[in-house]
Amino acid sequence: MSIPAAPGESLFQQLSRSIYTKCTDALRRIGSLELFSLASVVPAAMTMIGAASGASYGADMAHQGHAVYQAYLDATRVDSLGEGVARALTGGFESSGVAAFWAGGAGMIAFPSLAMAAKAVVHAFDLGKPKPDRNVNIQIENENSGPSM
Amino acid sequence: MERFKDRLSRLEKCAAAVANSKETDASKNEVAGQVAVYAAILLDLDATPRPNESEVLGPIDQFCVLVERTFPQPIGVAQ
Repeated sequence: MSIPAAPGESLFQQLSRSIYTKCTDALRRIGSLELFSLASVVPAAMTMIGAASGASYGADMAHQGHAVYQAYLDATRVDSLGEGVARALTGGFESSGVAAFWAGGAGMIAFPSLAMAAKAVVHAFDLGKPKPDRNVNIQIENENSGPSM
Repeated sequence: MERFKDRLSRLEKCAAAVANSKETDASKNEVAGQVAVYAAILLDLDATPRPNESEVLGPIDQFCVLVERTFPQPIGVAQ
């Protein structure tokens, strides 16, 4: 499952992606379903962040982001892919270190750049999630922020 | 994270090098995702060693070599 190069990409970007694809394939071979699932969907999520960065973070963008995410899940056809990712990002891994990593845990203080990278991925998945709760929150906010007189 | 402490340190430097590079935002975003997955892999393997893990570690090391050669850091500068 390689992602084709787009115009304007640097050689570094393309080589880095090629190495990443090799790593993803290796995860599948060694039989780590959680890590393979995670590695498979992160590129789509991060591409989505790129698409959103030039636009407002409005409801339309959130919906569009979810569509991209869902299309990717459908396309990859790996059972429990979504579950694997959700568990990975919410502490579903057996090792507590991985859960702490995504949560920005104290164990990552020595690695601030890695912690930032984790934060970016978590943010990307937040963008891609369906937002039923958010609409409710907005409604509540609107009610609370009525005429102040 | 004792077993992969050196690899995580190396990956940390690579993440910083890319973030401080002149790559496009799209490139930085994409690579940040890759780096985060690599870090998660190292943390997971640290807790749960696997017989064929070298197959996965190989590409992670290759990524570090790629970054170090693409964005060489000045010698003698404090880390």
